[in-house]
Amino acid sequence: MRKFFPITCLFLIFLLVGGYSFPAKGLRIISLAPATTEILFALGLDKEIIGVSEFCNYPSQARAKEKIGTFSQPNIEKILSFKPDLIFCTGLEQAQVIAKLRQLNLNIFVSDPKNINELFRSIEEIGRLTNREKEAEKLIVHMKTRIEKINSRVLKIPEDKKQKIFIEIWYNPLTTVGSGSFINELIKLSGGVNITSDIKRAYASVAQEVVLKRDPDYIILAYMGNLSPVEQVMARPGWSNITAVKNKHVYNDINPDSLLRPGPRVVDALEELHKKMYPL
Amino acid sequence: MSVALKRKIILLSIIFILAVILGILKGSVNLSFSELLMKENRQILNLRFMRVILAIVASSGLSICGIVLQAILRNPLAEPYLLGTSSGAGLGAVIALTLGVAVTYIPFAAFAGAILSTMLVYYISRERGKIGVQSLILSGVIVSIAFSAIILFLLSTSGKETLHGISWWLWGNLEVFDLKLLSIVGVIVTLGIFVIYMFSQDLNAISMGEEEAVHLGINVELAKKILLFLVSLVTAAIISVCGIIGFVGLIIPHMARLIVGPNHKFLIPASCVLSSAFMILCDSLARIIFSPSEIPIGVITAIVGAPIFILLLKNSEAK
Repeated sequence: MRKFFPITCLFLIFLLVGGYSFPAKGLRIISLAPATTEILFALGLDKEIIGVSEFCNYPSQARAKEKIGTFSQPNIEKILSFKPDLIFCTGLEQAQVIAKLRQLNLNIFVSDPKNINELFRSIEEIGRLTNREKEAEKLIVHMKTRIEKINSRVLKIPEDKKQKIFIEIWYNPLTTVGSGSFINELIKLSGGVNITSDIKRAYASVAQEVVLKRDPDYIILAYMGNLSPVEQVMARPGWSNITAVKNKHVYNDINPDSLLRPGPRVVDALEELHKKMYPL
Repeated sequence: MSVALKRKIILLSIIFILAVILGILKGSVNLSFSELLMKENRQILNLRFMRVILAIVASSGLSICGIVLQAILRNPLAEPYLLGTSSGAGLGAVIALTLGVAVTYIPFAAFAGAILSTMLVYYISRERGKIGVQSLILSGVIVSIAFSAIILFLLSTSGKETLHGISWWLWGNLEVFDLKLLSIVGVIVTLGIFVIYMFSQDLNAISMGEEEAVHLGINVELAKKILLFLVSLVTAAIISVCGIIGFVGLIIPHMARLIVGPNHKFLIPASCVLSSAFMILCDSLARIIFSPSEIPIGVITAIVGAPIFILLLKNSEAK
Protein backbone atom coordinates (compact mmCIF):
# COMPACT_ATOMS: atom_id res chain seq x y z
CA MET A 1 0.00 0.00 0.00
CA ARG A 2 2.78 2.32 0.99
CA LYS A 3 4.39 1.83 -2.39
CA PHE A 4 1.34 3.18 -4.02
CA PHE A 5 1.22 6.35 -1.92
CA PRO A 6 3.48 8.51 -4.10
CA ILE A 7 1.72 7.26 -7.17
CA THR A 8 -1.67 8.08 -5.68
CA CYS A 9 -0.37 11.49 -4.73
CA LEU A 10 0.87 12.10 -8.20
CA PHE A 11 -2.39 10.89 -9.58
CA LEU A 12 -4.34 13.23 -7.29
CA ILE A 13 -2.18 16.21 -8.23
CA PHE A 14 -2.69 15.32 -11.84
CA LEU A 15 -6.41 15.21 -11.35
CA LEU A 16 -6.47 18.54 -9.56
CA VAL A 17 -4.30 20.32 -12.12
CA GLY A 18 -6.00 18.67 -15.07
CA GLY A 19 -9.48 19.19 -13.67
CA TYR A 20 -8.79 22.82 -12.99
CA SER A 21 -9.61 24.26 -16.38
CA PHE A 22 -7.38 27.13 -17.30
CA PRO A 23 -10.01 29.68 -18.33
CA ALA A 24 -9.08 29.23 -21.99
CA LYS A 25 -5.52 30.14 -21.10
CA GLY A 26 -6.93 32.98 -19.01
CA LEU A 27 -8.38 34.72 -22.03
CA ARG A 28 -10.11 37.95 -21.04
CA ILE A 29 -12.44 39.35 -23.70
CA ILE A 30 -14.26 42.66 -24.01
CA SER A 31 -16.81 43.20 -26.74
CA LEU A 32 -17.92 46.69 -27.72
CA ALA A 33 -20.19 45.52 -30.52
CA PRO A 34 -23.63 43.96 -29.85
CA ALA A 35 -23.35 41.73 -32.94
CA THR A 36 -19.93 40.41 -31.94
CA THR A 37 -21.15 39.81 -28.39
CA GLU A 38 -23.82 37.54 -29.84
CA ILE A 39 -21.22 35.67 -31.87
CA LEU A 40 -18.95 35.25 -28.82
CA PHE A 41 -21.79 33.81 -26.74
CA ALA A 42 -22.75 31.53 -29.61
CA LEU A 43 -19.19 30.19 -29.54
CA GLY A 44 -19.58 29.40 -25.84
CA LEU A 45 -17.27 32.10 -24.53
CA ASP A 46 -19.55 33.07 -21.65
CA LYS A 47 -16.80 32.74 -19.02
CA GLU A 48 -14.17 34.57 -21.03
CA ILE A 49 -16.27 37.67 -21.71
CA ILE A 50 -15.56 40.14 -18.92
CA GLY A 51 -17.16 43.29 -20.28
CA VAL A 52 -19.64 44.41 -22.93
CA SER A 53 -21.15 47.67 -24.19
CA GLU A 54 -24.43 48.99 -22.85
CA PHE A 55 -26.21 48.02 -26.06
CA CYS A 56 -25.20 44.36 -25.77
CA ASN A 57 -28.52 42.92 -24.62
CA TYR A 58 -28.51 39.46 -26.19
CA PRO A 59 -28.32 36.68 -25.08
CA SER A 60 -29.71 37.34 -21.62
CA GLN A 61 -26.34 36.48 -20.01
CA ALA A 62 -24.89 39.52 -21.77
CA ARG A 63 -27.05 41.76 -19.61
CA ALA A 64 -25.34 40.42 -16.51
CA LYS A 65 -21.87 41.29 -17.78
CA GLU A 66 -20.03 44.37 -16.64
CA LYS A 67 -20.95 47.38 -18.80
CA ILE A 68 -18.05 49.43 -20.03
CA GLY A 69 -19.96 52.37 -21.52
CA THR A 70 -21.95 53.06 -24.65
CA PHE A 71 -21.30 51.85 -28.14
CA SER A 72 -19.38 54.89 -29.38
CA GLN A 73 -18.08 56.15 -26.02
CA PRO A 74 -16.74 53.28 -23.97
CA ASN A 75 -14.95 54.02 -20.74
CA ILE A 76 -11.27 53.62 -21.65
CA GLU A 77 -10.07 53.58 -18.03
CA LYS A 78 -12.48 50.82 -17.18
CA ILE A 79 -11.30 48.84 -20.20
CA LEU A 80 -7.68 49.25 -19.08
CA SER A 81 -8.49 48.21 -15.52
CA PHE A 82 -9.97 44.95 -16.82
CA LYS A 83 -6.64 44.04 -18.47
CA PRO A 84 -8.30 42.46 -21.49
CA ASP A 85 -6.40 40.18 -23.85
CA LEU A 86 -8.72 40.87 -26.70
CA ILE A 87 -11.17 43.66 -27.52
CA PHE A 88 -13.77 43.31 -30.25
CA CYS A 89 -14.90 46.46 -32.01
CA THR A 90 -16.88 47.34 -35.11
CA GLY A 91 -16.90 49.83 -38.01
CA LEU A 92 -17.07 53.54 -38.56
CA GLU A 93 -18.73 54.84 -35.40
CA GLN A 94 -15.93 53.34 -33.36
CA ALA A 95 -13.01 54.56 -35.48
CA GLN A 96 -11.96 57.11 -32.87
CA VAL A 97 -12.22 54.65 -30.02
CA ILE A 98 -10.28 52.04 -31.96
CA ALA A 99 -7.47 54.50 -32.69
CA LYS A 100 -7.28 55.41 -29.01
CA LEU A 101 -7.24 51.79 -27.85
CA ARG A 102 -4.56 50.91 -30.39
CA GLN A 103 -2.35 53.67 -29.01
CA LEU A 104 -2.61 51.96 -25.65
CA ASN A 105 -1.18 48.78 -27.18
CA LEU A 106 -4.36 46.83 -26.64
CA ASN A 107 -5.20 43.86 -28.76
CA ILE A 108 -8.07 44.95 -31.01
CA PHE A 109 -10.07 42.97 -33.50
CA VAL A 110 -12.39 44.94 -35.76
CA SER A 111 -15.27 43.07 -37.31
CA ASP A 112 -17.63 44.95 -39.56
CA PRO A 113 -19.16 42.49 -42.03
CA LYS A 114 -21.04 44.06 -44.92
CA ASN A 115 -22.60 40.85 -46.22
CA ILE A 116 -23.26 37.26 -45.19
CA ASN A 117 -19.96 35.93 -46.55
CA GLU A 118 -18.02 38.54 -44.63
CA LEU A 119 -20.03 37.56 -41.55
CA PHE A 120 -18.94 33.93 -41.97
CA ARG A 121 -15.36 35.03 -42.41
CA SER A 122 -15.46 37.14 -39.27
CA ILE A 123 -17.06 34.31 -37.26
CA GLU A 124 -14.20 32.11 -38.47
CA GLU A 125 -11.64 34.72 -37.50
CA ILE A 126 -13.22 35.24 -34.06
CA GLY A 127 -13.17 31.46 -33.56
CA ARG A 128 -9.49 31.34 -34.46
CA LEU A 129 -8.57 34.19 -32.09
CA THR A 130 -10.43 32.64 -29.18
CA ASN A 131 -9.46 29.00 -29.74
CA ARG A 132 -12.99 28.10 -30.70
CA GLU A 133 -12.35 27.00 -34.30
CA LYS A 134 -14.55 23.94 -34.02
CA GLU A 135 -17.47 25.82 -32.50
CA ALA A 136 -17.12 28.53 -35.14
CA GLU A 137 -17.13 25.93 -37.89
CA LYS A 138 -20.23 24.33 -36.38
CA LEU A 139 -22.04 27.66 -36.10
CA ILE A 140 -21.25 28.53 -39.71
CA VAL A 141 -22.40 25.14 -40.99
CA HIS A 142 -25.59 25.45 -38.96
CA MET A 143 -26.30 28.91 -40.37
CA LYS A 144 -25.45 27.84 -43.91
CA THR A 145 -27.79 24.85 -43.71
CA ARG A 146 -30.68 27.06 -42.64
CA ILE A 147 -29.92 29.61 -45.36
CA GLU A 148 -29.68 26.80 -47.93
CA LYS A 149 -33.07 25.48 -46.90
CA ILE A 150 -34.68 28.87 -47.54
CA ASN A 151 -32.71 29.27 -50.75
CA SER A 152 -33.97 25.99 -52.19
CA ARG A 153 -37.51 27.27 -51.71
CA VAL A 154 -36.70 30.72 -53.09
CA LEU A 155 -35.22 29.20 -56.26
CA LYS A 156 -38.65 27.81 -57.10
CA ILE A 157 -40.28 31.25 -57.01
CA PRO A 158 -40.42 32.83 -60.46
CA GLU A 159 -38.88 36.29 -60.66
CA ASP A 160 -42.21 38.03 -61.35
CA LYS A 161 -43.90 36.36 -58.38
CA LYS A 162 -41.37 37.69 -55.88
CA GLN A 163 -42.86 39.94 -53.21
CA LYS A 164 -41.89 43.61 -53.06
CA ILE A 165 -40.92 44.74 -49.60
CA PHE A 166 -40.34 48.06 -47.85
CA ILE A 167 -38.32 48.20 -44.65
CA GLU A 168 -38.98 51.20 -42.40
CA ILE A 169 -36.14 51.90 -39.98
CA TRP A 170 -37.55 55.19 -38.68
CA TYR A 171 -40.52 57.37 -39.58
CA ASN A 172 -39.39 60.98 -39.39
CA PRO A 173 -37.50 61.32 -41.62
CA LEU A 174 -38.84 58.19 -43.30
CA THR A 175 -35.70 56.02 -43.30
CA THR A 176 -35.16 52.81 -45.22
CA VAL A 177 -32.37 50.54 -46.43
CA GLY A 178 -30.47 50.68 -49.72
CA SER A 179 -28.42 48.06 -51.52
CA GLY A 180 -25.37 48.80 -49.37
CA SER A 181 -26.98 47.27 -46.30
CA PHE A 182 -27.00 43.86 -44.72
CA ILE A 183 -30.80 43.82 -44.72
CA ASN A 184 -30.88 44.22 -48.49
CA GLU A 185 -29.04 40.91 -48.81
CA LEU A 186 -31.35 39.27 -46.27
CA ILE A 187 -34.37 40.43 -48.29
CA LYS A 188 -32.86 38.99 -51.45
CA LEU A 189 -32.05 35.67 -49.76
CA SER A 190 -35.55 35.47 -48.30
CA GLY A 191 -37.03 35.76 -51.78
CA GLY A 192 -38.18 39.36 -51.58
CA VAL A 193 -37.37 42.46 -53.60
CA ASN A 194 -36.31 45.58 -51.69
CA ILE A 195 -38.20 48.47 -53.35
CA THR A 196 -35.37 50.90 -52.60
CA SER A 197 -32.43 48.76 -53.68
CA ASP A 198 -31.58 51.38 -56.33
CA ILE A 199 -30.22 53.51 -53.48
CA LYS A 200 -26.56 52.63 -53.13
CA ARG A 201 -26.06 53.67 -49.51
CA ALA A 202 -26.90 51.43 -46.57
CA TYR A 203 -29.50 53.76 -45.11
CA ALA A 204 -31.33 56.71 -46.65
CA SER A 205 -34.42 58.80 -46.09
CA VAL A 206 -37.09 58.79 -48.78
CA ALA A 207 -40.34 60.66 -49.41
CA GLN A 208 -43.63 58.85 -48.88
CA GLU A 209 -44.47 59.19 -52.57
CA VAL A 210 -41.61 56.81 -53.36
CA VAL A 211 -43.31 54.13 -51.26
CA LEU A 212 -46.68 54.91 -52.82
CA LYS A 213 -45.35 54.72 -56.37
CA ARG A 214 -43.35 51.53 -55.89
CA ASP A 215 -46.27 49.89 -54.09
CA PRO A 216 -44.71 47.24 -51.79
CA ASP A 217 -46.54 43.99 -51.02
CA TYR A 218 -45.05 43.91 -47.53
CA ILE A 219 -43.99 46.61 -45.08
CA ILE A 220 -41.69 45.69 -42.21
CA LEU A 221 -41.23 48.19 -39.39
CA ALA A 222 -37.92 47.83 -37.61
CA TYR A 223 -37.49 50.83 -35.33
CA MET A 224 -34.70 50.41 -32.81
CA GLY A 225 -36.45 50.03 -29.48
CA ASN A 226 -39.69 48.33 -30.53
CA LEU A 227 -41.93 51.36 -30.69
CA SER A 228 -43.20 50.83 -34.21
CA PRO A 229 -46.95 51.49 -34.47
CA VAL A 230 -48.60 49.43 -37.22
CA GLU A 231 -51.98 51.22 -37.08
CA GLN A 232 -50.40 54.65 -37.48
CA VAL A 233 -48.48 53.54 -40.53
CA MET A 234 -51.63 52.16 -42.14
CA ALA A 235 -53.52 55.38 -41.34
CA ARG A 236 -51.03 57.69 -43.04
CA PRO A 237 -52.58 59.86 -45.73
CA GLY A 238 -52.44 58.07 -49.09
CA TRP A 239 -51.04 54.80 -47.75
CA SER A 240 -54.41 53.03 -47.90
CA ASN A 241 -53.80 52.38 -51.61
CA ILE A 242 -50.57 50.48 -51.02
CA THR A 243 -50.97 46.74 -51.58
CA ALA A 244 -49.26 45.94 -48.26
CA VAL A 245 -51.72 48.14 -46.37
CA LYS A 246 -54.76 46.87 -48.29
CA ASN A 247 -53.82 43.27 -47.44
CA LYS A 248 -52.76 44.22 -43.87
CA HIS A 249 -49.24 43.06 -44.55
CA VAL A 250 -47.62 45.61 -42.28
CA TYR A 251 -45.56 43.98 -39.54
CA ASN A 252 -43.52 45.10 -36.57
CA ASP A 253 -42.92 41.71 -34.97
CA ILE A 254 -39.53 40.87 -36.48
CA ASN A 255 -37.00 41.74 -33.82
CA PRO A 256 -35.14 44.78 -35.20
CA ASP A 257 -31.96 43.62 -33.49
CA SER A 258 -31.87 40.37 -35.44
CA LEU A 259 -32.50 42.31 -38.67
CA LEU A 260 -30.00 45.07 -38.01
CA ARG A 261 -27.15 43.23 -36.28
CA PRO A 262 -24.74 41.20 -38.41
CA GLY A 263 -24.65 38.28 -35.97
CA PRO A 264 -25.93 34.68 -35.67
CA ARG A 265 -29.53 35.85 -35.42
CA VAL A 266 -29.66 37.16 -39.00
CA VAL A 267 -30.75 33.66 -39.96
CA ASP A 268 -33.75 34.01 -37.62
CA ALA A 269 -34.65 37.28 -39.34
CA LEU A 270 -34.18 35.64 -42.73
CA GLU A 271 -36.52 32.77 -41.86
CA GLU A 272 -39.10 35.14 -40.42
CA LEU A 273 -39.00 37.35 -43.52
CA HIS A 274 -39.44 34.33 -45.74
CA LYS A 275 -42.28 32.94 -43.64
CA LYS A 276 -44.11 36.30 -43.76
CA MET A 277 -43.93 36.57 -47.55
CA TYR A 278 -44.38 32.91 -48.47
CA PRO A 279 -46.44 31.20 -45.77
CA LEU A 280 -46.43 27.42 -46.16
CA MET B 1 -48.49 102.16 -51.83
CA SER B 2 -45.99 103.32 -54.41
CA VAL B 3 -45.86 101.87 -57.91
CA ALA B 4 -42.42 100.37 -57.31
CA LEU B 5 -43.64 98.59 -54.20
CA LYS B 6 -46.68 97.28 -56.05
CA ARG B 7 -44.45 95.90 -58.77
CA LYS B 8 -42.21 94.19 -56.25
CA ILE B 9 -45.17 92.56 -54.54
CA ILE B 10 -46.58 91.35 -57.84
CA LEU B 11 -43.17 89.94 -58.77
CA LEU B 12 -42.93 88.12 -55.42
CA SER B 13 -46.39 86.66 -55.92
CA ILE B 14 -45.46 85.39 -59.37
CA ILE B 15 -42.33 83.72 -57.97
CA PHE B 16 -44.48 82.20 -55.23
CA ILE B 17 -47.01 80.77 -57.71
CA LEU B 18 -44.23 79.35 -59.89
CA ALA B 19 -42.66 77.74 -56.81
CA VAL B 20 -45.96 76.12 -55.86
CA ILE B 21 -46.39 74.73 -59.37
CA LEU B 22 -42.83 73.40 -59.35
CA GLY B 23 -43.29 71.90 -55.88
CA ILE B 24 -46.28 69.94 -57.11
CA LEU B 25 -44.84 68.90 -60.46
CA LYS B 26 -41.44 67.76 -59.16
CA GLY B 27 -40.81 65.22 -56.45
CA SER B 28 -38.86 62.13 -55.50
CA VAL B 29 -40.77 60.11 -58.05
CA ASN B 30 -40.39 61.27 -61.63
CA LEU B 31 -43.85 61.69 -63.13
CA SER B 32 -44.92 63.66 -66.17
CA PHE B 33 -47.77 66.18 -65.88
CA SER B 34 -50.31 63.85 -67.53
CA GLU B 35 -49.18 60.91 -65.41
CA LEU B 36 -49.61 63.02 -62.30
CA LEU B 37 -53.23 63.71 -63.18
CA MET B 38 -54.06 60.02 -63.62
CA LYS B 39 -56.31 58.47 -61.03
CA GLU B 40 -53.74 55.94 -59.85
CA ASN B 41 -51.38 58.74 -58.87
CA ARG B 42 -54.02 60.81 -57.06
CA GLN B 43 -52.48 59.96 -53.68
CA ILE B 44 -49.03 61.11 -54.76
CA LEU B 45 -50.56 64.39 -55.92
CA ASN B 46 -52.28 64.73 -52.53
CA LEU B 47 -49.02 64.08 -50.69
CA ARG B 48 -47.26 66.76 -52.72
CA PHE B 49 -50.09 69.22 -52.03
CA MET B 50 -49.82 68.56 -48.31
CA ARG B 51 -46.07 68.94 -48.41
CA VAL B 52 -46.37 72.29 -50.21
CA ILE B 53 -48.97 73.42 -47.66
CA LEU B 54 -46.72 72.43 -44.76
CA ALA B 55 -43.84 74.30 -46.43
CA ILE B 56 -46.02 77.43 -46.69
CA VAL B 57 -47.29 77.13 -43.12
CA ALA B 58 -43.90 76.41 -41.57
CA SER B 59 -41.91 79.01 -43.50
CA SER B 60 -44.48 81.79 -43.08
CA GLY B 61 -44.76 81.08 -39.38
CA LEU B 62 -41.00 80.99 -38.86
CA SER B 63 -40.29 84.15 -40.83
CA ILE B 64 -43.09 86.13 -39.12
CA CYS B 65 -41.84 84.99 -35.69
CA GLY B 66 -38.38 86.14 -36.76
CA ILE B 67 -39.79 89.56 -37.72
CA VAL B 68 -41.62 89.97 -34.41
CA LEU B 69 -38.60 89.01 -32.31
CA GLN B 70 -36.25 91.19 -34.36
CA ALA B 71 -38.64 94.11 -33.80
CA ILE B 72 -39.27 93.56 -30.09
CA LEU B 73 -35.67 92.77 -29.20
CA ARG B 74 -34.30 95.30 -31.72
CA ASN B 75 -31.67 92.72 -32.53
CA PRO B 76 -30.91 91.64 -36.11
CA LEU B 77 -29.76 88.21 -34.90
CA ALA B 78 -33.09 87.35 -33.27
CA GLU B 79 -34.78 84.24 -34.66
CA PRO B 80 -37.73 82.06 -33.65
CA TYR B 81 -35.61 79.54 -31.74
CA LEU B 82 -34.00 82.25 -29.59
CA LEU B 83 -36.47 81.84 -26.73
CA GLY B 84 -35.48 78.26 -26.02
CA THR B 85 -38.24 76.70 -28.13
CA SER B 86 -36.00 74.32 -30.07
CA SER B 87 -34.18 72.83 -27.09
CA GLY B 88 -37.46 72.75 -25.13
CA ALA B 89 -39.12 70.78 -27.92
CA GLY B 90 -36.12 68.49 -28.19
CA LEU B 91 -36.15 67.87 -24.44
CA GLY B 92 -39.88 67.11 -24.50
CA ALA B 93 -39.35 64.56 -27.26
CA VAL B 94 -36.31 62.96 -25.64
CA ILE B 95 -38.13 62.58 -22.32
CA ALA B 96 -41.12 61.05 -24.12
CA LEU B 97 -38.84 58.58 -25.93
CA THR B 98 -36.98 57.71 -22.73
CA LEU B 99 -40.27 57.01 -20.98
CA GLY B 100 -41.25 54.76 -23.87
CA VAL B 101 -44.19 56.85 -25.09
CA ALA B 102 -45.51 55.77 -28.50
CA VAL B 103 -43.97 57.69 -31.40
CA THR B 104 -47.37 59.13 -32.33
CA TYR B 105 -47.45 61.31 -29.22
CA ILE B 106 -43.98 62.71 -29.67
CA PRO B 107 -45.20 65.84 -31.51
CA PHE B 108 -47.37 66.66 -28.49
CA ALA B 109 -44.49 66.12 -26.09
CA ALA B 110 -42.35 68.40 -28.25
CA PHE B 111 -45.08 71.04 -28.32
CA ALA B 112 -45.45 70.92 -24.54
CA GLY B 113 -41.68 71.14 -24.08
CA ALA B 114 -41.45 74.16 -26.38
CA ILE B 115 -44.28 76.02 -24.61
CA LEU B 116 -42.90 75.25 -21.15
CA SER B 117 -39.41 76.39 -22.07
CA THR B 118 -40.66 79.75 -23.42
CA MET B 119 -42.74 80.21 -20.28
CA LEU B 120 -39.65 79.57 -18.22
CA VAL B 121 -37.67 82.09 -20.28
CA TYR B 122 -40.46 84.60 -19.87
CA TYR B 123 -40.60 84.25 -16.07
CA ILE B 124 -36.84 84.41 -15.66
CA SER B 125 -36.67 87.64 -17.63
CA ARG B 126 -39.59 89.36 -15.91
CA GLU B 127 -38.72 92.15 -13.53
CA ARG B 128 -41.43 94.07 -11.68
CA GLY B 129 -44.03 93.11 -14.24
CA LYS B 130 -41.87 94.23 -17.16
CA ILE B 131 -39.86 92.17 -19.61
CA GLY B 132 -36.41 93.55 -20.27
CA VAL B 133 -35.10 93.10 -23.79
CA GLN B 134 -31.59 92.17 -22.67
CA SER B 135 -32.73 89.77 -20.00
CA LEU B 136 -35.12 88.09 -22.43
CA ILE B 137 -32.27 87.32 -24.84
CA LEU B 138 -29.98 86.19 -22.03
CA SER B 139 -32.51 83.95 -20.33
CA GLY B 140 -33.40 82.47 -23.72
CA VAL B 141 -29.78 81.59 -24.32
CA ILE B 142 -29.34 80.20 -20.80
CA VAL B 143 -32.46 78.04 -20.92
CA SER B 144 -31.35 76.75 -24.35
CA ILE B 145 -27.92 75.81 -23.06
CA ALA B 146 -29.28 74.16 -19.94
CA PHE B 147 -31.89 72.17 -21.85
CA SER B 148 -29.39 71.09 -24.50
CA ALA B 149 -27.16 69.85 -21.70
CA ILE B 150 -30.03 67.82 -20.23
CA ILE B 151 -30.75 66.37 -23.69
CA LEU B 152 -27.13 65.33 -24.08
CA PHE B 153 -27.14 63.92 -20.56
CA LEU B 154 -30.19 61.78 -21.31
CA LEU B 155 -28.74 60.68 -24.64
CA SER B 156 -25.43 59.68 -23.09
CA THR B 157 -26.81 57.87 -20.05
CA SER B 158 -29.74 56.08 -21.58
CA GLY B 159 -28.93 52.74 -23.15
CA LYS B 160 -31.95 53.07 -25.42
CA GLU B 161 -31.11 52.97 -29.07
CA THR B 162 -34.47 54.60 -29.76
CA LEU B 163 -33.04 57.97 -28.87
CA HIS B 164 -30.92 58.01 -31.99
CA GLY B 165 -34.13 58.68 -33.85
CA ILE B 166 -34.15 62.06 -32.16
CA SER B 167 -31.54 63.41 -34.53
CA TRP B 168 -34.29 64.47 -36.92
CA TRP B 169 -34.90 67.49 -34.68
CA LEU B 170 -31.67 68.91 -35.91
CA TRP B 171 -32.43 68.23 -39.56
CA GLY B 172 -36.03 69.20 -40.14
CA ASN B 173 -38.40 67.47 -42.49
CA LEU B 174 -41.55 68.57 -44.29
CA GLU B 175 -43.14 65.18 -44.87
CA VAL B 176 -46.76 65.00 -43.65
CA PHE B 177 -47.66 61.82 -41.76
CA ASP B 178 -50.79 62.91 -40.01
CA LEU B 179 -53.48 65.05 -41.62
CA LYS B 180 -55.01 66.01 -38.28
CA LEU B 181 -51.72 67.27 -36.96
CA LEU B 182 -51.18 69.31 -40.12
CA SER B 183 -54.62 70.94 -39.82
CA ILE B 184 -54.16 71.79 -36.13
CA VAL B 185 -50.78 73.35 -36.82
CA GLY B 186 -52.12 75.10 -39.91
CA VAL B 187 -54.93 76.72 -37.91
CA ILE B 188 -52.62 77.78 -35.06
CA VAL B 189 -50.07 79.32 -37.43
CA THR B 190 -52.64 81.07 -39.63
CA LEU B 191 -54.48 82.61 -36.67
CA GLY B 192 -51.16 83.55 -35.08
CA ILE B 193 -49.96 85.37 -38.20
CA PHE B 194 -53.35 87.07 -38.56
CA VAL B 195 -53.27 88.47 -35.02
CA ILE B 196 -49.62 89.49 -35.39
CA TYR B 197 -50.57 91.36 -38.57
CA MET B 198 -53.09 93.39 -36.57
CA PHE B 199 -50.17 94.54 -34.44
CA SER B 200 -48.25 95.89 -37.49
CA GLN B 201 -48.45 99.52 -36.35
CA ASP B 202 -47.38 98.62 -32.83
CA LEU B 203 -44.45 96.64 -34.24
CA ASN B 204 -43.46 99.64 -36.38
CA ALA B 205 -43.40 101.81 -33.26
CA ILE B 206 -41.70 99.28 -30.97
CA SER B 207 -38.94 98.60 -33.47
CA MET B 208 -38.05 102.32 -33.27
CA GLY B 209 -37.65 102.09 -29.50
CA GLU B 210 -39.95 101.34 -26.60
CA GLU B 211 -39.99 104.91 -25.29
CA GLU B 212 -41.02 106.27 -28.66
CA ALA B 213 -43.77 103.67 -28.79
CA VAL B 214 -45.02 104.72 -25.34
CA HIS B 215 -45.12 108.33 -26.52
CA LEU B 216 -47.24 107.24 -29.45
CA GLY B 217 -49.76 105.93 -26.94
CA ILE B 218 -49.03 102.22 -27.31
CA ASN B 219 -49.32 99.87 -24.36
CA VAL B 220 -45.88 98.39 -25.04
CA GLU B 221 -45.85 95.85 -22.21
CA LEU B 222 -49.22 94.41 -23.16
CA ALA B 223 -48.33 94.29 -26.86
CA LYS B 224 -45.05 92.59 -26.04
CA LYS B 225 -46.76 90.02 -23.85
CA ILE B 226 -49.33 89.13 -26.50
CA LEU B 227 -46.74 89.02 -29.28
CA LEU B 228 -44.31 86.85 -27.31
CA PHE B 229 -47.13 84.47 -26.47
CA LEU B 230 -48.10 84.21 -30.14
CA VAL B 231 -44.50 83.71 -31.24
CA SER B 232 -43.94 80.85 -28.80
CA LEU B 233 -47.24 79.22 -29.74
CA VAL B 234 -46.54 79.39 -33.49
CA THR B 235 -42.91 78.25 -33.19
CA ALA B 236 -43.83 75.36 -30.90
CA ALA B 237 -46.56 74.22 -33.29
CA ILE B 238 -44.19 74.28 -36.27
CA ILE B 239 -41.37 72.54 -34.44
CA SER B 240 -43.66 69.75 -33.33
CA VAL B 241 -44.39 68.70 -36.92
CA CYS B 242 -41.23 69.44 -38.84
CA GLY B 243 -38.36 69.70 -36.40
CA ILE B 244 -35.84 72.52 -36.55
CA ILE B 245 -35.48 74.24 -39.91
CA GLY B 246 -32.84 76.88 -39.52
CA PHE B 247 -32.09 80.01 -41.52
CA VAL B 248 -35.65 80.79 -42.71
CA GLY B 249 -36.70 82.63 -39.55
CA LEU B 250 -33.44 84.54 -39.39
CA ILE B 251 -32.70 85.55 -42.97
CA ILE B 252 -36.06 85.83 -44.75
CA PRO B 253 -37.15 88.83 -42.60
CA HIS B 254 -33.94 90.64 -43.59
CA MET B 255 -34.38 89.72 -47.26
CA ALA B 256 -37.98 90.94 -47.22
CA ARG B 257 -36.92 94.17 -45.48
CA LEU B 258 -34.33 94.75 -48.21
CA ILE B 259 -37.06 94.28 -50.83
CA VAL B 260 -40.15 96.04 -49.45
CA GLY B 261 -38.76 98.19 -46.63
CA PRO B 262 -39.29 98.15 -42.86
CA ASN B 263 -43.05 98.92 -42.67
CA HIS B 264 -44.60 95.85 -41.05
CA LYS B 265 -47.87 96.36 -42.94
CA PHE B 266 -46.05 95.26 -46.10
CA LEU B 267 -43.18 93.39 -44.52
CA ILE B 268 -45.40 90.69 -42.98
CA PRO B 269 -47.29 89.65 -46.12
CA ALA B 270 -44.15 89.99 -48.25
CA SER B 271 -42.24 87.73 -45.84
CA CYS B 272 -44.99 85.12 -45.97
CA VAL B 273 -44.88 85.02 -49.76
CA LEU B 274 -41.09 85.20 -50.03
CA SER B 275 -40.40 82.56 -47.37
CA SER B 276 -43.00 80.19 -48.82
CA ALA B 277 -41.48 80.42 -52.28
CA PHE B 278 -38.01 79.95 -50.81
CA MET B 279 -39.00 76.95 -48.70
CA ILE B 280 -40.89 75.18 -51.51
CA LEU B 281 -37.92 75.62 -53.85
CA CYS B 282 -35.47 74.35 -51.22
CA ASP B 283 -37.72 71.39 -50.48
CA SER B 284 -37.95 70.52 -54.19
CA LEU B 285 -34.16 70.58 -54.37
CA ALA B 286 -33.91 68.40 -51.24
CA ARG B 287 -36.09 65.79 -52.92
CA ILE B 288 -34.67 65.92 -56.44
CA ILE B 289 -30.86 66.10 -56.03
CA PHE B 290 -30.32 62.54 -54.77
CA SER B 291 -33.69 61.11 -55.76
CA PRO B 292 -35.12 58.80 -54.52
CA SER B 293 -33.39 59.60 -51.24
CA GLU B 294 -33.83 62.97 -49.56
CA ILE B 295 -31.46 65.53 -48.09
CA PRO B 296 -32.43 67.29 -44.83
CA ILE B 297 -34.21 70.53 -45.75
CA GLY B 298 -32.20 72.59 -43.23
CA VAL B 299 -29.03 71.87 -45.20
CA ILE B 300 -30.55 73.24 -48.41
CA THR B 301 -32.09 76.36 -46.81
CA ALA B 302 -28.67 77.37 -45.49
CA ILE B 303 -26.65 76.52 -48.61
CA VAL B 304 -29.10 78.18 -51.01
CA GLY B 305 -30.11 81.05 -48.73
CA ALA B 306 -26.69 82.35 -47.74
CA PRO B 307 -25.50 83.36 -51.25
CA ILE B 308 -28.87 84.90 -52.14
CA PHE B 309 -28.77 86.95 -48.97
CA ILE B 310 -25.19 88.12 -49.60
CA LEU B 311 -26.16 89.19 -53.13
CA LEU B 312 -29.13 91.18 -51.84
CA LEU B 313 -27.03 92.79 -49.13
CA LYS B 314 -24.28 93.83 -51.56
CA ASN B 315 -26.92 95.15 -53.94
CA SER B 316 -28.57 97.34 -51.31
CA GLU B 317 -25.22 98.68 -50.14
CA ALA B 318 -24.37 99.68 -53.71
CA LYS B 319 -27.50 101.79 -53.91
